Amino acid sequence: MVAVSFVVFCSMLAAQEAPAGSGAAAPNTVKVQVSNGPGAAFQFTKVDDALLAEANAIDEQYEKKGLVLHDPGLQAFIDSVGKRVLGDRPAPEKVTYRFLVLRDPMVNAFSLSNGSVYIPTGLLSLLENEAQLASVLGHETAHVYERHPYIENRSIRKKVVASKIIAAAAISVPGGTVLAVASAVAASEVSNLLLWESIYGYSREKESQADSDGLAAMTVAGYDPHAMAVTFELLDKYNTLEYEPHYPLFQDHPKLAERREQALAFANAHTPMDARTGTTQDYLAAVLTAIAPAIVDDTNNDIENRRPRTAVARATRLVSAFPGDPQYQVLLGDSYRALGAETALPTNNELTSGGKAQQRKEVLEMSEQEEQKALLKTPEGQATLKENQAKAEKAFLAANQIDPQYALAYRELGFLYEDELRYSDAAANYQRYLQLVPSTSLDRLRIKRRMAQCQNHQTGQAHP
Amino acid sequence: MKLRRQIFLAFATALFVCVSVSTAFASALQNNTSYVQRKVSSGKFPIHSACMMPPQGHLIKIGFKSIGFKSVEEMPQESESWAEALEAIVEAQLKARGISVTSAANPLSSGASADAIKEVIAQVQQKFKAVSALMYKKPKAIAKSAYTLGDQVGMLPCSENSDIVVFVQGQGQVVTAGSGLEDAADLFITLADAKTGEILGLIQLYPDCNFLLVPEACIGPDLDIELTDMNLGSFRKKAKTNGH
Repeated sequence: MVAVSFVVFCSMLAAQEAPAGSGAAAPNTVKVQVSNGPGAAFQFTKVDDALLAEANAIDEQYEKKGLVLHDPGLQAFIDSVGKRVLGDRPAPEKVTYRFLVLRDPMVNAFSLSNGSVYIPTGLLSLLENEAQLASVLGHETAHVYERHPYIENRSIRKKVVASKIIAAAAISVPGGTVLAVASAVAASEVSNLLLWESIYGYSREKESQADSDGLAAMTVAGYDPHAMAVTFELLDKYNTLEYEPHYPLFQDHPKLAERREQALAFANAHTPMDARTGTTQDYLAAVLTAIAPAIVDDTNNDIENRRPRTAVARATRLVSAFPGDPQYQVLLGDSYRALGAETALPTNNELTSGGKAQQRKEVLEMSEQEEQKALLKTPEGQATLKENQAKAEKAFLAANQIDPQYALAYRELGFLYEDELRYSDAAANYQRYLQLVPSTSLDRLRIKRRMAQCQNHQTGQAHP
Repeated sequence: MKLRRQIFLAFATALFVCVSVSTAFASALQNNTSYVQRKVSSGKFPIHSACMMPPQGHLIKIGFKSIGFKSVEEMPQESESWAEALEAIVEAQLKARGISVTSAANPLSSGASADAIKEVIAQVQQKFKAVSALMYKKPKAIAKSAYTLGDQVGMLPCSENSDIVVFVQGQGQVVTAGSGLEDAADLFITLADAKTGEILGLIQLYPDCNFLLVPEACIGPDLDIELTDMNLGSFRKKAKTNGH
């Protein structure tokens, strides 16, 4: 049983026009000192050892729950950036740096006292270039170097935030829910304590120190430090396609604009002359290829957690970059199907305060089915449904054309046609799917059931 | 803008304090309840077999000083053992009603790999989490078939031979002795149709005994009452009319 302590980096969001850093380590020509933290001056106490044990336990829990995404290509990419940011600095005592992808929609990275740095798929999905990832990792590893988890754990601040943490725990107790949670917060598998703490982050001094150290580390590694400034700017303007209950807290994280200014000042003074911008199409495509598994995972999560607009946006990004990949076409089709009668972008009405209140009500008070039912009562909702279904069908058929042996496209077409009451077409696609998937596929049984139902509908024997 | 943020933060902090205080007493004020669809309680949907999803338990320890909070601690190891204990209690209660129980992780005759099953379990858990956020808030809607996990529950190998899939979830707060406050826990047992994913029933328990040290003695009897109330399994009473 050990105290909670973790370090946090306020979300690094994707830059639309990010001045990206290079994938290759450029020789640094500017004089930048990278801090290695307090080093031997930091003496471990019993409390610190307990915290370390908790960090190890959290690692085990995440792994056991299947929350760590294991994709060799993605892992190699993350590791390479992490290694570059760490450079040849020795790891502090009792620290083994590990860079792990967490299957979680959060847009907050965080690190533990033992050196485990977690980058959620929600954050990775938004990143567009390597330099932004380097800035995230630079910041997080700086927290570990500076021993912030231990120092924070010992400090008075723990008492100050305790009430907030307890409130978070209250939220996590479903029966005692006063503030209902939904969307990304509900979808998050990370402990509510951790999630809540990540929203609040460290004290300003520690965040500032981690920013400075992170900037220095990424610059020495050859990345353009402007990437950190841009991510702060984007974070400050962060807007979401769906209603997120934690959004106001997230936005109010202390002084993002100030941190951006500091990062910008550093970047303007210290950008290596030979830091490449890394904005060529080939380069961006390579980064996107590496992080694609995280985007796919996160998009599926979005679909399952009532964030279809986010899902459409992410799947569209993948399809735009790789139009010839049937997997992404199917993902896009799934996302449009999940939209149902909802528009892909917020309507003008939804952007008004009344509209936002209505959105809030829909998320917190209505089930997905109830929400769709309400939307379908209007002619606009019915028209939107048809439009989305047409887009979904187009994407599935595109996947079919790209690779006629790609089984998932048939299954998803079956689902879509079933929604549209086209039972004959649905059954035919289910049949094709069953012909293509291996006999050990866990999906066979339910698809057989669906196929039988469709056939019953055709013969008029369906049960309600 | 700065003032607005400060006001918001002040308001949020005040709200959090209120929430935390009220939560400390929440469990003591709530009664055990169950919600079930009529087709289950009437026996039209007979339940002979159940598939148990991996249990989820989350415990935190809150330390208090005489003038306020001292610390909040995660209890990862205790959470895991507690979750397993909860699962065993539910399993025993179901078996006592003549309901056979299979683990969701069991591949049975599917031939599927452990990794593939783990992936499906994670998907189903994710969907459950998304649905349960609202379901716990508005449980009465269960009677109106308002919630479903979708037929992806049918991908679990155990679903083929099971009538229901069972989700066990527990959240608890353990406070230090001498604080004047008591430990509190909320337990939720959800039953879903193993083929369609439709939520069929929910039991909410708020034990007022030592749920951590003697979970069986503390939770078992209450669970028994609620399961009987739902008219579940071979102990079924005559068809009940109240589905909450």
